[in-house]
Amino acid sequence: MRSRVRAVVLGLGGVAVLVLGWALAAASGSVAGVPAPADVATALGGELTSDRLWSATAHTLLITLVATAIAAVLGVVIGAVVGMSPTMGRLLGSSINSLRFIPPVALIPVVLLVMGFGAGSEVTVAVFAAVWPVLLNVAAASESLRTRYDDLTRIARLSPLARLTKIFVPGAIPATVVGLRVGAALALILVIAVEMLAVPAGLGHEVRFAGDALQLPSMYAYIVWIGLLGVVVNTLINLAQRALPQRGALPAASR
Amino acid sequence: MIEDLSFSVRPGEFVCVVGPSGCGKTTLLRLLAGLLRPDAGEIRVDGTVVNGPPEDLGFVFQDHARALLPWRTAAKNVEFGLEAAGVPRRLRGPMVQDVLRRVHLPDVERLYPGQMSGGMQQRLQIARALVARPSILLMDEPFAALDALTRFALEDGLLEVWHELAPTVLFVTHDLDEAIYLADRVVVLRRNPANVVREVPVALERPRDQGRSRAQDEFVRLRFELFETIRSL
Amino acid sequence: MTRVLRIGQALAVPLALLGLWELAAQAGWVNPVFVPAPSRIAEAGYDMLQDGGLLEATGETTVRALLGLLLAIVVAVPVGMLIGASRIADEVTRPSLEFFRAMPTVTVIPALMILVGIGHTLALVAIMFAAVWPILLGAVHGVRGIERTLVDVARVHRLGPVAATLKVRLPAALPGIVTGVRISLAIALVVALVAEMMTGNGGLGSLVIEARSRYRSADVFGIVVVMGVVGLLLNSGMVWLEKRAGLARIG
Repeated sequence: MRSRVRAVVLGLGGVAVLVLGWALAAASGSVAGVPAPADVATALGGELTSDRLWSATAHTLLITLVATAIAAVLGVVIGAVVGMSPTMGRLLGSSINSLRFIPPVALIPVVLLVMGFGAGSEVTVAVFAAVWPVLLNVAAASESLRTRYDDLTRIARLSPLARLTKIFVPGAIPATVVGLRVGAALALILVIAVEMLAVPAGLGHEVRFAGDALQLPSMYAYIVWIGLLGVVVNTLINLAQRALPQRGALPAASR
Repeated sequence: MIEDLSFSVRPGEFVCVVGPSGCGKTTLLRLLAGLLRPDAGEIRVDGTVVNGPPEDLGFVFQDHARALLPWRTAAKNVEFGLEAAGVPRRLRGPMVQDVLRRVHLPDVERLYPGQMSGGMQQRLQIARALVARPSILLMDEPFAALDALTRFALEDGLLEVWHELAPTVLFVTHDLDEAIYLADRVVVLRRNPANVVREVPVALERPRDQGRSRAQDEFVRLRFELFETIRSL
Repeated sequence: MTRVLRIGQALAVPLALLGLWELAAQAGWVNPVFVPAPSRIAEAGYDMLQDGGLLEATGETTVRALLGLLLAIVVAVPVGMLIGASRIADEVTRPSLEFFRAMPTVTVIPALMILVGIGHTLALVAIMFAAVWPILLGAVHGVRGIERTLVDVARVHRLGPVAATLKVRLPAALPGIVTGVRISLAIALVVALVAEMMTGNGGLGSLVIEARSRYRSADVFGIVVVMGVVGLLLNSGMVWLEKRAGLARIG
């Protein structure tokens, strides 16, 4: 417990040093285009009481959440099919292994072309980013479950349904969560990227808008806010992961 | 935990240290190797104070999988002992070959530790510890994690290189049979405070033999004696 | 025979999908202005390759991503190892590092546009900024995770600080560092493309935005395919390097 307090105090000290360095750099004027942290804090305070920040936040988070949920369903279903059936693995493996290396931002122009400048485009790009970690982790877990418990399922004469509910579902949960953790972070990045590039909504758009209008404190306020949001999303998923019963998790796919 | 503990070892002698778990066997070895500093007082070997790991010392860790460098081949792992001792590059090759032959690990130079069995890994660690020809070899339960047959083979291999290279060996183990089989003398430690309770000379003739030596009356007598001593602690 | 079967199975689904797509475009089930047929995309890609613009842009993006990644490695590995070597340094920097790692780093691009201008350095600085954190944390984790026994091995061999770092700590921390580099490689390509799309300063990102603004759909799809190939090649290169470095043995 003492060491916990110590870590928090030291960590906050580190953040304080960082902000101080930022303040000094801004005050010295040696770096043009960097507002003082105090100005950014004021701007953030102003934005926090405004509608703009909250509606942008709600938009970005909602899109991220929807995209992550869709990616989770797609990733789990396809991953389980690929991992549980060697034939399906061979049939779909080549498509998966060529599509997953397309950098998700590359899809932005295509999606804009096909779907236009709306929320649908944001969701599509984010799903394309978030689906791979889930899919690959679930596929690897199901495959290892299939080979590891092959003898057991046969000796216990488990029906296909029982195999699914007693072995694959509980066994694949940790891998799903690991995949979702990476996937949700990617989804957030892509949603913001799409908003910065094309779709005029959400936090990404606000950063771009403030930057183009040269409202520097406001732009930095949004950047800091987005950073904090990233930390919150990450922490929430960490907590969810820890809340899972500590079963002997299977090794997750690393790539 | 250890207070005022002292015992003597003759040059070239093979001494085993046994004792109940938690008696500070490993701590003692780490203090002697300079890996730990005493909270108070000092550690002396031959009258010289130990301040950090001394030269002229080989150390074999219990956990072979973690003590070897997994990114180096077997030969390079042994060579590590020479690099550290500052032996010029051109002299290293033959020395590595020589020590690998002595520990009965021919033809493994190119294997990585991860490709070797536990027994082979531990032979490799012994080779690394001995390649620079230290006069003292400290061994921390080196065979504890190996199966019985591998362990017999490694014990005999160790006695063989010890006989050829004649380092002073301090061997920590919790296995009384192993201690008697290997040692010239067995030192029994107790805990709280850790101290030497007995020193038992082993009068079995050498070279020893896993079958015959262990069947001798002397072996059985020593085993009984050591067991009773430890049980009474 | 099984080999032929395997290759057949691997090709079946992609070929079927491509065939369906072609059919859909030809038959007009989808609007070919927005979703051109694969044959049209291949044709457009071939034309772009012929006039050299596509190859040049591909090279530009690849070099940017790799150079930014390299700079990030050069900075992050030593700093990360220093931080990892001390518990206090780790505790002092941990929240700040986690903040930057968790932050969607593409957001700093607008700020960098003002800080460093819309030149060639922008993409490089943005890539480096985004790629540095996973490697830094990987190095910190790598060093913190070094087995005690290995540290003892370095000590009983009387290695000095430099030798201990080069011969023991760095190789032992390498798996952690490589995990970071692998994450950063993907990030580097994404940030390179976003920066190019936002500034129009060369590379595949600019090319694709330009093609889209002229509604040259086949070109857009063709460039996206090339981006996928670049991603695939960079990843294969990484896997190859890892194999060569024998990292599988350390694992």
